This record gives sequence, C-alpha cells and structure tokens, in this order.
Amino acid sequence: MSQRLKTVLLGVGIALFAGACQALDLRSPATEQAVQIGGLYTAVFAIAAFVFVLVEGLIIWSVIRYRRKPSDKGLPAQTHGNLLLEIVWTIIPLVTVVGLFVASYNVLSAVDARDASAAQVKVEVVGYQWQWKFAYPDAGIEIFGTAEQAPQLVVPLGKVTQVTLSSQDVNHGFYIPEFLFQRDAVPGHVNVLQFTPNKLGTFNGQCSAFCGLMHHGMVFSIKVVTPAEYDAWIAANTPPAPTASPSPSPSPSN
Amino acid sequence: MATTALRPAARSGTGIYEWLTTTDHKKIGILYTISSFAFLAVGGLFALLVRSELAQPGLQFLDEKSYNQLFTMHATIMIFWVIIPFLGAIGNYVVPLQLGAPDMAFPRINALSFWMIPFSGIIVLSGFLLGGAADAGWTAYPPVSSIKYSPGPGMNLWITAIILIGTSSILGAINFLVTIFRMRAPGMTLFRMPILVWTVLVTSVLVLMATPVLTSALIMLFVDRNFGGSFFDPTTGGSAIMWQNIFWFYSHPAVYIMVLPAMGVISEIIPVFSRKPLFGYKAFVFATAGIGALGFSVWAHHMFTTGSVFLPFFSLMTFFIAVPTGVKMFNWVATMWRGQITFKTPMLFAVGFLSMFLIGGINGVFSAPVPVDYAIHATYWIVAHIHYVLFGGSFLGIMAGLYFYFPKMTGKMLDERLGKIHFALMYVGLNLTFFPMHILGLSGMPRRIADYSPTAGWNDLNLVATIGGFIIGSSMLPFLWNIFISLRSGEAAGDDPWEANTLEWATSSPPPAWNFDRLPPITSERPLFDARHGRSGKGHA
Repeated sequence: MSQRLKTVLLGVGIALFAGACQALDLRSPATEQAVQIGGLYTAVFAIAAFVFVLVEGLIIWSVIRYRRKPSDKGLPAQTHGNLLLEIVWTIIPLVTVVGLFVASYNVLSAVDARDASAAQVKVEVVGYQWQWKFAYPDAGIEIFGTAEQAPQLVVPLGKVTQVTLSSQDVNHGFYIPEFLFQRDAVPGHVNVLQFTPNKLGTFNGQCSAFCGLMHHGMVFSIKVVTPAEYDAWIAANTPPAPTASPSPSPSPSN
Repeated sequence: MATTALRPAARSGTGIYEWLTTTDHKKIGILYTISSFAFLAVGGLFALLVRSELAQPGLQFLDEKSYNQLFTMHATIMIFWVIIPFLGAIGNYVVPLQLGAPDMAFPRINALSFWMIPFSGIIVLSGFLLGGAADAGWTAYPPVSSIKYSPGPGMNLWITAIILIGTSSILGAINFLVTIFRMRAPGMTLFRMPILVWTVLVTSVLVLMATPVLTSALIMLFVDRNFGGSFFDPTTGGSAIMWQNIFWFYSHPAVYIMVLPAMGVISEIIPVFSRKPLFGYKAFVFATAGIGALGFSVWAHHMFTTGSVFLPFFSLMTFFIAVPTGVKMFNWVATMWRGQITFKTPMLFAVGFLSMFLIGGINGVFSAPVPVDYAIHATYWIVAHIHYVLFGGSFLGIMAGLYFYFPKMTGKMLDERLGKIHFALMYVGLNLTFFPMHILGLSGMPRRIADYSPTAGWNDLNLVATIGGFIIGSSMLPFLWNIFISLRSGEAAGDDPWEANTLEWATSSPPPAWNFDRLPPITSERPLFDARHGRSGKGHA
C-alpha cells in the first residue's frame, strides 16, 4: 500500500470517527436528573471511544504490518501466550468497569431518589391501548389522549414533579428522549418517578414498550412552563367545584 | 485404532432417500446449512420489508398489523431458525472431525434434532396463512402476548414451534456433550481440544441449563392463553414481570449461545491464516467458561426500566461480563501480532468479525450503567447493539466458517474474487444499516414502531439504513453464485487447502462416511501443524 493511500485512508478514518463522535453526542438534557445521566453517558462514551480506537487501531495495524510477504519463508515465532500480558489485559478492564460501576451507582442513587415529601407537583400517568391519561389529582384535572389529539403534560420549571405511572392493559413505556429517561408502565405494578425540569420548552415523548397494533401512535408531549404560568394553567383548567352540597355519591349504575 | 471399531457400514449414494434418512453427522451438518439458508432467505425478506416500510415516514407498503407480524417473525426466524442452526451446522459437521471421532455419540438423535427444525419452522410460519403470524415481538411479553391482546392463532403456533426448536437444541446439546466427553481420539486431552470444540462445549452447557427454563415459560404462557391459567395475568393475581425474568434467564444466555461458537470458528481461522498458534489458549478457554457462567447473572439488565429489578447487582454483573470478552479480543489481536497473515475470504470475515463485534461489545456496555440504560433502552440504540453482536459478530463468524469449511464439505474451493466482493458488500451494507441506528436511538426513536413523524428528524438516517439493508441483501447474490459455480467447476480442494491445524483437515475432502482412515499422533492442540513441521507438540502457556 502506497504511503499516499495510507495517508488518505487514515484521514478518512479520522474524519469518520470525528463525525461519529459528534453524531453520538447527546442532545442537551432537559431535567436536573438528565444532566447527571448525560454526564455519565459522556464519561462512558469517552472510555468507549478510547477502547474503540485502541483495539481497532491494533487490528488495523496488525493486518497491515503483519501481512505475509514473499520474503517470509520460515514460520513466524510460535508464541503461545504471555501470562503477564494476560493478567494486565484482564486487570485493567476489570478496574475500569468497577470504576464505571461506582460512578453509575452514584448517578443512579440521585436519579432514582424518590423522596415523596420533596414532590412539589404530583401527576398521574396511565398508559392504555393506545394513548395516555395525564391527571393532576390535586386539581381534579384529567387529560385523555386520543389518536387525533396527543395529550400534553404541563409541568413547572425547577419544581420536583412526581409521576405515578401505571397501565390499564399491557406494558407501555413512558419515555421522554430529552429527559434521557423512560420507565415502564406495567399492569399490576405502580411505578413512581421524579424529575425536575431545568429547561423551558415542549418536549416530545412516546411509548417505548411494544404494546400492540398502534404502538407508534402513543405519542405525547411535555410542556415545561414557568411556575407562574403553571399556576395560571392549573387555575384555568381546574373543573368548577360541584355546586350541589354535599357532593353526591357516585351513581351505582355504570 | 479406536475409531476403526466404530466404523459404520459405508453406504454410498446421494439420492433423496439417503439424505432424508441419513444419520451421518456430515450430511446432517450440510442439511442444517441448507435449512439455515432457506430460513435466512425468509428472515432476510422480512427484514427488507420492515426496512422498506421505515425508509420514509408514513405507511407505504404495510399496515401496522402486518408490520408487527413481520418484525416479530424477522427476529424469531433469524434467532431460532438461522443463527442457532447455522452454528449447529458448523458444530455438527466439524466437532466429530476435530475430535477424531467417526460420528456424533447419538446419530439418530442427531437426525431427530435436525428434522425438528424445518418442521417447527413451517409451524411458526404457517401463521401467515392461518389468519396472522405471531405479532407480540420475539420477546412475547404478556399481557400483549395474552389471548386477550393477541387472539389470533399466530401466538399459539409460535409457542408450539419455539418449544419444538428448543427441544431440538436440548437434544443437540446432550449429543455434543456426550460426543466431546466420550468420543475424543486417543491422545486428545481436554486441553488439546480445538477451541471450537471448547466453545461448543460451553454453549451446550448453556443450552442444557437455559433452554428448559424457556420451555417451561412457554408452557405457562400456553396454559394462560388456552386454558385460563393466570401465571402472567395481573388481573387474576399473576405477574407480567415474572415472564420477563424467566424469558431473559434463557434469552440472555441465548446471546452467548449465538456468539460463543462463532468465536470458536474465528479462533480456528485466525491462527491458520496468521501461521501462529492461538495466543493464550487456556486464557481463552477460561474466558469462554467465564462468559458462560456470568451469562446467567445478567438477565435483568433487559428489565432495568421496569422498576422491579435489584439494579446494582445486575448492573455490576453486566459490567463484569465485558471483561472476559475483552480478554478474547486481545487474544485474537495478539494471535495476528507478528504473524504472517494472508487474506483469504475466511480470514476477511474473521477480521470483519473482530472489528464489528468490538462495536457490539462496546455499545452493549452502555446498558450496564443503569441511568444510561434509562436513556437508551428500547430505542434503536439497542437495535444497533444486537445487530452488531448477532450480525457483525455471529453472522460474520458463520460466513467465515462457511468459507473455511466449504472445501472440506464439498471438495471444491470457492472463488476468492467473488468471496471478496461478498465480504465488501456485506461489510459496507451492515455498517450503513446499523451504525445510523445508534444516532436514531439517541434522538429518541423507539424500536418496534411501524411509523414515525416526518418532523422527528429521523428521515435521512432511516433512509440510509434501508439502503444499507438492500446492500446486505445484494451481497448474498455473489455468494450464492459462488457456491453454484464452485460446486460445478471449482478447483479441487485436496485434504488441507489452508495449511490448517486440526484433525478435520487430516482426512479427504469430503471425508468418507467413517471420517478417518488413520489419525496423526495428537500431542498438542495442533496435531496437523505438528505433523507438517515434524514437531512434537509442546504445551501452551
């Protein structure tokens, strides 16, 4: 292989690698928890990229450098192994993954911390074939998504939002890509999760657990607004209090 | 010689009847190969239909009903009727030869194992003609797979067929284990066995321990669906999560069932084409056993997002299992290091395996840190991961093995030029198809969706992936043509066209029904190398 060709191939390789690294960068995370998850992702990615370059580099080097040449008459040295090398390339990955485990455990403890007393906004999310119900039990607000109208969850910036997640029928996945987060809605089991939005805006979400025919239709959005806007939205959407007193007991029929 | 006493009656003839009734492990191995190719065509067609639908937003070719059946059946066929049987093909053909044995320990059970495959394959595919194939994903999570939410006949046929093919695997595993422990030629101690035999041994243990667990889960699901059981039905006190635990207790080891023998294949090929012994034979054996053992302790990393998992344990174990895999990677590279490498097609595919399986290993580690898994679980990142493992890993390994063993199976060499075209197309195609899926996953595209919004920003990458898929499909054309012309007029292979190391090359190509007329002395893991170079084997480090 000519020197010029090698240089060109090396350049192409570096360009592809740089492009891939950029494409695999995370979009900017939109909750305080997501910031931590994003940081962890970036750390794992950095190590992964290093390992990738190291090992692919060794492979490419070997297949170029050690191709059989016409001058290769005898056998190459018949090396059967090297205990020291084996130990080194067992220990170093072992230490690396234990370190990553510790880092990920710390982030997990923060992301999965569910302190019910810290919750400032409480919402219920119920998955059903094939949409979502979002409810604010304290305000009596219920929003039902339909195939035509995707539901929108409105939450305030900087407040701890607690989601109580369940399913009416089959497994669903409550997934908001920019929150770097998903949690399954499994029938017979209630999941509780918390997040603290740190960016204003509207973020798309979608069911991530295959749930049957119209799985792809289970889209929704989350709108993060200022606390003042949030209070106004709650007030505007709270159904009027029942005028009859005392409140009638639910009708036995239906 | 021990083998001569076991020489079966030499029957000649290549008629249909002979093939239908054969108990010769070599013919059965070839039958496995043919069956796997037939199902590969079916599974590949399903993949191209799925990719065609996803090429642009909107539903152009399929509706949701058929899409869901096709992605379910693509994975089902590729896993159970293509990759596992392809490795069974190589194992069946090669393991008795590598051991210096005349056949498998139980030749009739071997034939039974094989014939259950096409039979069960027809059952699972018959759903398409009987009102709808299975449509709950290959993972068949209840309640979506329950009679209420998947009422068609497809799920029942699917369960029946998977039970049958699992039974075929269990019988095959017992057969391999008995063959390996009881039928080795004189002189072949355990640590002189070829690495491929070791990987088949560990794989067989995994099959024997894991597959009956899947079978029990499938029977429970069948009872739930058809007789009103409530194992997995939360409305009557069952647990939908329990299915996931049992299913993945099988299906995570199944990933190793699908990749360990491919690792074995390339561990045969890389030393031969580097003219060096495998670096760290024993380390490799222990790493294989380590992967097998750890493989049973990581299943719940498929369930991190359920909220019903002891997260730290499964996270740590998932990190750990990266280590023995890394050891193997370094061993392969060290085998090539300072070797004399020639790039025949089997070696191209083996190096292709190294470079692609590396990606499948690395992008899998992202699921070990639980918070990162929360971000990528069930997205196209995972689709990218499993395809770099099963396509970039297992399938390239299978292709390497077929190119390597075709001369032994047929007595004819394959054409190198067509082989290189095949490799180049497949390598480019697989990266075009699966690399963009990482980016799609990070940008929020969930797997298993029939359609997506045109404003989601996923259009271009999906189109690229679809083009890549068709390049992969087209790469099979030079391969099939190569097989066709080589069978007709290929160069004669001779006993040992690659200057290889192990006993399968010590007999004619193809071997006689009884495999060996005589065996060379076995004093190391490379008896043929020793014989060729007049060496007596030395121990390995």
